[in-house]
Order: sequence, then structure tokens, then C-alpha cells
Amino acid sequence: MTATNELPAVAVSIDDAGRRVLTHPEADTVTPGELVARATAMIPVLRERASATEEARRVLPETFDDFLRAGFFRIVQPRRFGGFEMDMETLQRVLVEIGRGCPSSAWTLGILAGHSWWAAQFPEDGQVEIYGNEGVALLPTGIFGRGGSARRVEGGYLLSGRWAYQSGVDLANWLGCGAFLEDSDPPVALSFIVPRDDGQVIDDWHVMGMKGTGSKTVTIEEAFVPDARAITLASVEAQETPGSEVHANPLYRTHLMAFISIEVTGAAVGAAQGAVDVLEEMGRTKPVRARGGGGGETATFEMSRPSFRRRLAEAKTQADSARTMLFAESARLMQVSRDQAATGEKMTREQVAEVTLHQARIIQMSVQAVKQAFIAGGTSATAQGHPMERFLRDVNVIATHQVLRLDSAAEAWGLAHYGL
Amino acid sequence: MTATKLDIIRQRDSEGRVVLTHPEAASITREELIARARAMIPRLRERAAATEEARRLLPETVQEFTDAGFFRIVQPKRFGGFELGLDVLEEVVIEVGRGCGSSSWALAILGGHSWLAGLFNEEGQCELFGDEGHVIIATNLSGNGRASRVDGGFELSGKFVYLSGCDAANWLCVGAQMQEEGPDGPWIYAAIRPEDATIVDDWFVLGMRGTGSKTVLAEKLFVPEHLTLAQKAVQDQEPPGRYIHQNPMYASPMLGFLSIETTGAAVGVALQAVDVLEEIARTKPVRTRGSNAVTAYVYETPIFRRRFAEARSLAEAARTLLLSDARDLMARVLEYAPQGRKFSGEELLTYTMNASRLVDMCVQAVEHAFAVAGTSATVEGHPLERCFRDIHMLSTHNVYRIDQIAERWALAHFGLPG
Repeated sequence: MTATNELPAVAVSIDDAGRRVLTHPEADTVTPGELVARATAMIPVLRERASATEEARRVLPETFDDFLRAGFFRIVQPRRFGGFEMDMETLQRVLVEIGRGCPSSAWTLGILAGHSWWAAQFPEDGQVEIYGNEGVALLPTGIFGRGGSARRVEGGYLLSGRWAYQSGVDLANWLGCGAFLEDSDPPVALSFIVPRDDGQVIDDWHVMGMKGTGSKTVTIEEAFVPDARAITLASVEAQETPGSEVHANPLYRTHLMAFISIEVTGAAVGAAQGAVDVLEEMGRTKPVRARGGGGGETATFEMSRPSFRRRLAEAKTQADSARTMLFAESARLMQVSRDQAATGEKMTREQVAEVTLHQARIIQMSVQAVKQAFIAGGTSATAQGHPMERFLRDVNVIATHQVLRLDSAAEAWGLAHYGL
Repeated sequence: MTATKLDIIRQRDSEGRVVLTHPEAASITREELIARARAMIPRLRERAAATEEARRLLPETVQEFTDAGFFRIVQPKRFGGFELGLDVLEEVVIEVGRGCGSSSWALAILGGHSWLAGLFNEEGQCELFGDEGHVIIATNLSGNGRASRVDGGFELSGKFVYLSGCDAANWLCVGAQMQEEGPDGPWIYAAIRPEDATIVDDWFVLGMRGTGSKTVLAEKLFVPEHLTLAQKAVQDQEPPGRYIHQNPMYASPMLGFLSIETTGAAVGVALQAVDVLEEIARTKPVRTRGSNAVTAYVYETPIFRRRFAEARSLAEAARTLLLSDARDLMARVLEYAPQGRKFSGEELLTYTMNASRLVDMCVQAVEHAFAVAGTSATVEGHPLERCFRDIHMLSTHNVYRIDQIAERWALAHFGLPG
């Protein structure tokens, strides 16, 4: 990392084929382990900023700067456009560490870093424009058709719509928007990337937990979008997007739904790990006072109580199981992409639903871990601003997500399995 | 099936040491072993009721396991084994468990303990593995026997409970306290022949009936020195075998290895319950109240699908976690052994605690399957009622009782006595 506040400059060049290439100075040197170490080093400062992040209802500018400097948004971004082109497991390992400090910041990072992969699905011209000179493409997304409508015009589309839950929109320089083509029958779903300034942000993110994600509503009125920044959802479903031809790495042939189901799970696992961290500290520092003993000197701490130790161990094994499962599933998806790139096979609806089902399971394990830690933490850990009460709110809000809810994930998988 | 005499190749190496080589040792793969186990599932399922009734591993199943090489998976190559990892053993144990929980448990113990034999000293291993490298070792390692020093070895007496698979075994290995040195004194593991001991037919239990985990009595048996292992050496992760075999697997800490070893049986039972539920789904009709007309099959009902997905996701998660931990132990042994680094108590108890966590997930998986399958699956002999009894039975094992494991882990973590 550089000592100054300067961001590492991305080199712009033209390759032998005359294509524009962006190269990050760390592209050949940075390792997944180094990125995870950078994330681990941020935990204390993220935890300090967590209350202010909630209050701001967005990721703080200083956290955003830290993430930019650490290169976190480039983890699954194509090398050709200034990325590190690593894998989902690396992204999730970073997210879990960030989540131990601040789940809201982790979630936002998961969305924005994950969607620098999404931008790589677009036509080559579009990608050149989107990644720009810096190779920074930060876009929250309402990827799917719902929310918008698009009218065909010469050279592109006129897009209008309203998209809720745009996590990280305050940090974005682009927006991802799904829309249905006007008057199409059967309905044609399209997905666009438009400049951030084409949209209006409505400051409506007032929720119980994950307050810092700033998942606000965005509206757009009749913005022109050229063809280069439009793709059909049919090409996404078929795993044959224009971008999948631009990049050789099978990473860019991964099924969208499978990819984005995993994208943010690290935030939930990070909350679980964070709750265990906090409880472990309480074990060593929270005094146990004898009944009626007043506030006198204490010789013992929570760790001396068997009931405390029981809950800590339970929380830890749940949180660690969730983490193991998340990394294993991330690696598995990457393996599927590599295998299928070799054979030309596509993921079945059931395979995709299974990825999501496992994410729902991991999130449930994270919820259970936090619950155990919360109970053992006692009433003092419910004081507003205490990390434990924040982890409880955060992980439970994640578990309500419409795709990652166990009920909906289970039903989606069951229907796919039986071909219903 | 007839007992096939294997062509084990017996040679001496340049130092004059005996080397046994299994004809498949160089060619056998993880995939092949898993495929053999998978092919057995229907037969194991068919035999499951008879296995329960016999309250032991059926001889034909022992023969099939022997022929498939399952007892040799973690056995030293030098003594006729395949010397593959604990993760490979678990994958096989899981597949077998999809057919029969009891057979899977017994295989885990008996197959896993060919690793244990690899911890003895040179002379001990030569005797244990014999000419064929065919060892089937049932154990109780908790040290509740009595041993006294005698000329050339020990005199062993005691009552040892829960020796899973003892009817199939050609060796028994038990733990015993040294009598002369008081209750806190050292203890040993001693290998004895089943014919020198008495097996008491007392395995009458709720589930896992086919493991035949019976009591063994030993009375004043002479055990030569080389057929014993000092428990202290094992606990210190310094058993003699660690310096006999190149493979660092034989430097694995016993607690870590054994915590993982049998857990595949739980995962297998959970997956079996999911398999059975899947079969029920497509064949069990839903009838309208007051009519015999079949309106649908249960898979067409959302409530069924919800439970089915829940059971499956729990069972699959348990499998992923178990194999991750097995691979993690093997990877760490590989890293630690050359450095002479030992596992901490906390590290080892983490494996145990994870095992208890994933067994609990297996219990939940089976409970979901059981709850949604309905009363017809509670008929005696139905695989689902057997899975239900087996998984609950298994979860009562000492190693999987989360309350005590959690406490031991946390005491180790905080460096508290206990």
C-alpha cells in the first residue's frame, strides 16, 4: 500500500490487437493472501466507525477510500480493465474479515466489487466506456427486469424506472438497471448500465439493521442508453453474454444468479465471526460479581462461568462452520465454471438453485451463531452502539433478503428439482 | 461371495525390512473407492434389517469391504495399505452410510484403525499386519483396563465396553492403566487377539444395532511389549510409527483423527434419509379427504418441498464441513510434521467440536425428513425409521455431545484448568 493518499495509477496501453488495456500496478504482484491481510488489518478501524456508518446510513467516505486503496473493488474485475481477476473465494475471504468490523461495509463491498464482474458481461465497447481510464466501475444493481421500462430508439433505448434497494449507491459511478422492453410480447427483459448522474437517489433507507449499506431507491426518467451498455437477460440465462466472449477466464462465464447469490454472504458470516470476537473479549474483560457483593473488587471474569463457555463454543462452531461452508461453496462454483467452460455445458436451474439454497443455509448458521453470542453477552451488550446488538440486527436483516431467505431458497430449489 | 486370497507381494527392502504390497496399491484412486462404495448401496440397504437383527456387521458385508480394500484406505503402504487420506476414508464411509448406518460406523472404526496399527513400533506393526496386511481392529481406547508390568510385557485385565465391530475383528485394542503407579499414572494401549478375550453379547440398543458394539472381557492376558503403545507417546504426538512411515498421516494426533473418523457415518445416514425421502416423494399419493382418488403426489405440495430442501441442505452442508475438516487435518499434518510442530489441545478440540456440530446438523436433517414422510415411514424396518433411530443413537456418543465438548474446548481456549 502506498503511504500517501494517492491512489495507485492504472496504466493505459494499446495491445497488439489494437485493444485498449488498463493495467493496475499491483495486478501481477498482489496475492489473495495479501488482500485478506489488508482486510484483517482494517477490522479495528471499521469497528470504530460502525456507529458513524449506521448514522450516516451509507459507507463512510474514509472507508470507501480505504477499500479503493486496498484494491478490494478489483478482486473479480477483468485484468484487461484494471482488475485482479481472482475468484469468488478471495472476495468472500475479504468480505468475512470486513464484516467482522462492519457488516454494512462488507455488504456494500460485496455488491460493488461483485458488480465489477457484472460489467464484464457487457459488449466490449460498453466495457471500455464503463471501466474508463481508472478501471473503476462501481454500480449497485437492480439487474432483473422488474422496476424499469425501455423504449427502443435509434442506437439504443430510452430507459425509465424506479429501483429499490440500491446498496452502495452513494459510492457508485454507474447504475445497473433492469427493465422490460415496451410492448414486447412475450416480455423481453433487458439490463442496462447507465451513468450515476442519470439517476435520482431517494433518501429512503431507514431500517432496523444493515443501516450503513445505504440501500436507497433510484429513479430514472427517459435516459438514453446506447446498445453497448445494454444486454438481454436471455443471454445472461444462457451464459452467453457479449462479455463472456471478451474475456477468456471461465470466471466470466459463471451463471449470474449463482454468482450474485454468493456475492454478499460473507457479510453475514463476518457478522457471525464478529459476534464471536466480541464475546471472546467479554470473556476476558467482563467481570462477574458475587450476588450482594456490591461493586467491590472482582477476581473473576465471564470466562470462569461454564454457561458462558458453553455459549461461546456453540457460537464459534456455528460461525466457523458457516465460514468453511462459504469458502467451500465459493470454490465449488469456480470449479463448476472451469469444468463447464471446458465442456460447453451450462448450469441447470436446479444447480443454480442449489447454490442459493446453500447460501441461505450459511446465513442461517450465521444467525444462530450471533444468537448464541447475543444471549451470552447479557444486557450490557444491548446498549445502543454496542457491536453485539448491531451484529444481531445486521445478521437478521440479511436473513430477510428475498432471495437468501431459507423459505424462498428452499422452495425455489424444490420446484427446480422436481421440474415444476 | 467366496473369500479370495489376495496376492500380496512380500519383499524385503535394502535394509532387510519386510514390505507388503497390495496389488492395487499403485493404481487405486479415491474415485474408484467411492464408486465401489456407491455400487454397494442397494445391497447394503437390502441387508440393513438383517444387519440390525444380527446385531453385528454381516459376514458378507465384511467380505465385500475386504474385497473392495476399504480396510486398507488409511493403512501404511509398507504393510499392504493404500495410504490415502482420512478424507478418502470419510467419502467411502459416507457412501456406505447411505445404505446402512451400522455398517458405515463399523467400517469407519475398523477401517480407520488400520491407521492406528501404523502407530506401533516396528516389531509391533510386523506382527499386527502379519503376512497379508489384513487388520481389522476393534477398540476401546478410554483406558479403563488394568495392566501390570511382567517380564517382557504386561499382564492385562479388564472389562471394555462398546467395541464396535468386534465380531469381525482379528485384533482388539484396549486401553489400560498401569496398576503399580496409581490412578494418575501412565496407561497403555494394548493389542490382543479376540480369541484370547471373551465377547459378551450385550448390544441391545435403540439404534446402530448392527455395529455390534459389545463388551469385551480380558483376564490376566500376557501382552508383549511390542504390542503396546504408551498413551503418553500418543498424546504427545510422538508414537513410534511416526518415524517408521514417511507419510505424515502417521503423525496425526489421535484425538483429531478419531473425532473425524466415525462422523462420516452420521453424514451417510443423513444423506440416506434424503435419498429415501426423494423416493417417497414421487410415489406417495396425496388423497383428497373423503375420497380414494389420488389428486397428486407429495412432491407437488409446497410443504413437502420445503422440508425436503431443508433436510437436503443440512445433510449436504454436513458433508461439505466434514470433508473440509478431514482435508484440513491432513493438510496441517503435512505442514506441521516436518517442523516437528504439535497440535495444541485447542486445535484438536476444534475438530471435535466441529464434528459434534455437524452431527447435530445430521440429526436435524433426519428429523425434517422423518417429520414430513408421515406415519407410513415409521413401520418397523422402513429405512427412514431406522435412520431416525440410528442418528439419534449416534448423537449420544461421547465425542458428539456438544455440552461437554464445548466446555473442554473453551477451557483449553482460555487456558483454564480442566
